[in-house]
Amino acid sequence: MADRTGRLIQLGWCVAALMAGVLPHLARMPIWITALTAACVGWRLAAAMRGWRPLWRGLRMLLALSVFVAVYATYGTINGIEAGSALLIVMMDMKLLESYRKRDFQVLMFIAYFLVLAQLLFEPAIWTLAYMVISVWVSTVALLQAVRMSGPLPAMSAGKLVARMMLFALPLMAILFLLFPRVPGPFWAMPTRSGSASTGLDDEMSPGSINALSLSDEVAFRVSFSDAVPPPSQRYWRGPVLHDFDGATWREAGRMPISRAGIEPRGPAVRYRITMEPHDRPWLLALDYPQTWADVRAFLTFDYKLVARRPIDQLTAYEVLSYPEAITDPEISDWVRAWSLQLPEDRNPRSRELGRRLRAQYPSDRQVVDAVLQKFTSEEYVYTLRPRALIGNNPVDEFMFESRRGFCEHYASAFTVVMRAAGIPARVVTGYQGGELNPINNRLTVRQSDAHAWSEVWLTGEGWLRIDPTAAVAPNRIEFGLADSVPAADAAPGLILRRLPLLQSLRQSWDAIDSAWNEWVLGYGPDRQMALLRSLGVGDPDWRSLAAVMTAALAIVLTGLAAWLAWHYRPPGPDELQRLYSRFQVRLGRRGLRRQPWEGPLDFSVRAADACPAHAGAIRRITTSYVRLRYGPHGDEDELERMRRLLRSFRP
Amino acid sequence: MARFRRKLDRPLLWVQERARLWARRRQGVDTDPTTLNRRRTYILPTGLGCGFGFVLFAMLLASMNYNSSMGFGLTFLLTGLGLVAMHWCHQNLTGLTIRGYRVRPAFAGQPLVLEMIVENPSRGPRYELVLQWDNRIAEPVDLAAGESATVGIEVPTERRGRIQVRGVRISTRFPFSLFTCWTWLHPELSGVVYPAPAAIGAPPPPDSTDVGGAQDDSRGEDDFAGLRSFRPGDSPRHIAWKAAAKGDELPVKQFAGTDVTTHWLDWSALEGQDNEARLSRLCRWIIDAHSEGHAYGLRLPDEEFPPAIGRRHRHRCLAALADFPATVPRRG
Repeated sequence: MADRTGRLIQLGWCVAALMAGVLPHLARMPIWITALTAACVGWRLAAAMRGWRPLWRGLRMLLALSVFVAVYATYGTINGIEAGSALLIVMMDMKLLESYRKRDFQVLMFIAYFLVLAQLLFEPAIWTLAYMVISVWVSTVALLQAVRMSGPLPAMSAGKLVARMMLFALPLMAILFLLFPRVPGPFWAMPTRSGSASTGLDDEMSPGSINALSLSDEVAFRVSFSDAVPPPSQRYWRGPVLHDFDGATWREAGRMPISRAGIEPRGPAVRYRITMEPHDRPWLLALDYPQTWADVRAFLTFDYKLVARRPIDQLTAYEVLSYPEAITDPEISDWVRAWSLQLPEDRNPRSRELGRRLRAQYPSDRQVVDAVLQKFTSEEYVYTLRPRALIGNNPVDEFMFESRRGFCEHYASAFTVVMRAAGIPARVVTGYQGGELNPINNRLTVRQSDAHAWSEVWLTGEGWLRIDPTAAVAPNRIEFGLADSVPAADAAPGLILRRLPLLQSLRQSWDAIDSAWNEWVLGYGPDRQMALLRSLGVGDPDWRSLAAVMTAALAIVLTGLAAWLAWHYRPPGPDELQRLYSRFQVRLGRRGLRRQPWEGPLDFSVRAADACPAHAGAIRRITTSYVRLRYGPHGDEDELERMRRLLRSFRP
Repeated sequence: MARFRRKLDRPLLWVQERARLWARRRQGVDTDPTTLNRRRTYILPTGLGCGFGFVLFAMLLASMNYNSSMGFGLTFLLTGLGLVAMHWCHQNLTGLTIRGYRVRPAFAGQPLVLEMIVENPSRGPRYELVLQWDNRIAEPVDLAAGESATVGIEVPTERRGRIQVRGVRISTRFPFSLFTCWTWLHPELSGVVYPAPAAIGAPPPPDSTDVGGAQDDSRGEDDFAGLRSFRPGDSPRHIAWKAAAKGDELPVKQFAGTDVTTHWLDWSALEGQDNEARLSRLCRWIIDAHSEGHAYGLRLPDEEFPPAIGRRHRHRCLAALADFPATVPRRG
């Protein structure tokens, strides 16, 4: 049985495996979990070295109960990835305290596997592939060591053995990954991650909210177009549409599904595939105006937002067909009209007055729109990342008539307010505008810094029309993006970096790798599986053909494994001595001298020496060496070398 | 809990026994040496293996629920590892050679030892090979390439008689205890359990001695004839202690004597005791006579062993006691 050192080694591997699993989690866990883990690991190692007995059972129960309560108190739930992995870690700590037997270590290794899973569910970035392979290797070595009855194997051979096994497991994994029939989830609702974990558009907009996003360099989504990439002026990615206004903040009104099947197509279509980073909100970004979509369960609202059935908390890929020139809503219902004209009566009096004045001044709605845009262009309005804080009760008035410095949300908000005051149905649309085209893979990368807000007005006969007041103030924002449209002094560090050519190309390469990872690994799903089967020559594939191809491929790899194992465990061939002696016999055989089955080497040498007396000495010496090496007590390297030398010149 | 385990175990044992008998019919009696080929090695997941399967299933569900490619990746990597481990486990057992089966006789109450040599005639190492006979498990052995080891299983005994070696199980759970691969060995063997000897100091055999030099190979104690090295069974009285102190060998004095004491150890001399007591007494006499180097003969109601000496003779006599029928054959 394993002695004390052996048990210490087994425990050491086990702790190493748990640490490998737990480390990436700890970065985002509350500090008390890290402290608890350190304490438990420390206690257990000390107990192993000093030979302490396990803690009193009652104390352990009490401890387990209190950490459970603590997790619940921290997260308010025990469901979901974050609270779930916290619970997993404290469970692991508790289990470690009482792990003294083989069975406990086995359970711990299963927990280690789950810890890796939790990390992968939480953050499936490309580096986690290395993390997965390494931590599975350590955990599996630990399992190998833990189940050994006669003490641990040397670290080297255990590590090599598991590495070899993983080398065979990797092709099996690839086959299963590619061909195991995927059932699209989810089966049960999961609480989404807390909002702090990700950035993105909100369902409300107040002065400064998009401004905050513009400092983030995080990728929001990536787009690959089937045909030509549309020009920047058409790259309006539609997000939440805001109808409700309280004088300062715009809010999303609701997500009523559209009553018709979709928009009426007109003009050229754009087909593209979006790989959306998780943002924990349900909306899916799409170009104006989405008509059909695939690979995602979503619906279109009355204001042409594409909304998924559940929050996007995983990387999600979907395909959309949009018609940028489609006419939407030639007629609008009374409730939409009423909604799109709503303004709080007691706020922003000067802006409302401006609207009423323009209404009286111009007969057509179009002229009113142009007049406001004209006001933005001709007067001293500045597009800036650092607008003055608007603190008063009438932020729109403050911006329109006093500061005149603002970011896109200021312009969109002010413009919409004036429109509504003029009796023109209008709303604020938030989303993203533009995106960076990566020349390496011809994908468009849209970042949080591309977040944007604009307006839509409804004109009789023309339907909803996109008006971007920011474009009037800063045309470069639309054509070249944020970095080239704000004053240099405003630029955030991330924006400056974009101007350095070397960094720019490095960034683009990394972006291309990340994008390929997202697309081919994270975005791999049922549709890709079917495409793969079709490319393998399976007509009309379904899950049955998937399973059949998968089984065949697995069988091939496993047969290969069995063959390799049989080769690895093959019986040893003749040793060198045996080979040398057979060479000796072959050479004598050429002279017609064959050793008879009943003849020993010595008898044979006597006969052979008689038959060719010229070589009698060599024959005798070779035979003596052979007999000495074969039947003597110990192998002698010098003797073997002598035999080799003799044989080299032995030509009877 | 314990009672529940027992209830659960009994049908399991029954199933195992049926499976063993089926394998016995299929494989026949094993020759010495036995090579474990693929046709006779069986493999099943262990409890831990089932647990591992459950873990994989849970991971698959979680990955589906979160629609997480990396989750699928991990699940499938572990699945692949499990499949590889299964093949490795099977390979760890197949190709082994078992030879040199033997059962060392024991006196009732002492453990009987079943021994065999497990040989690894291949280039890969074998790990954690476990021999099991009759719920007794030997220490697991690791065998490097080309290595072999003698493995002994001790089985406790209570009564004299013969113990048939019905099925020996050689198994391995290497590498992760997820699978257990095993085969049954059926060497046609039985172990002899001699009767427990009566306590030392019991009355010596009646002196029906026959003095003379009748046997060629018998040796008395009169003329010192030289030294030879110690063999089990030599009387401590014959060890040349002075010579022994000089080296690490135990020299034993040999005599070319003519004065041989021959005892007849007779069943009928022990009238008035029950059978087992008589057998125990005879057993003690045989042991003592042997260790003192006396020649002795054994007379049982149905059998007679003429006087002789040596280990072989001792074994034949003791085995005859072991095989003595439980009910006395009545004689006229």
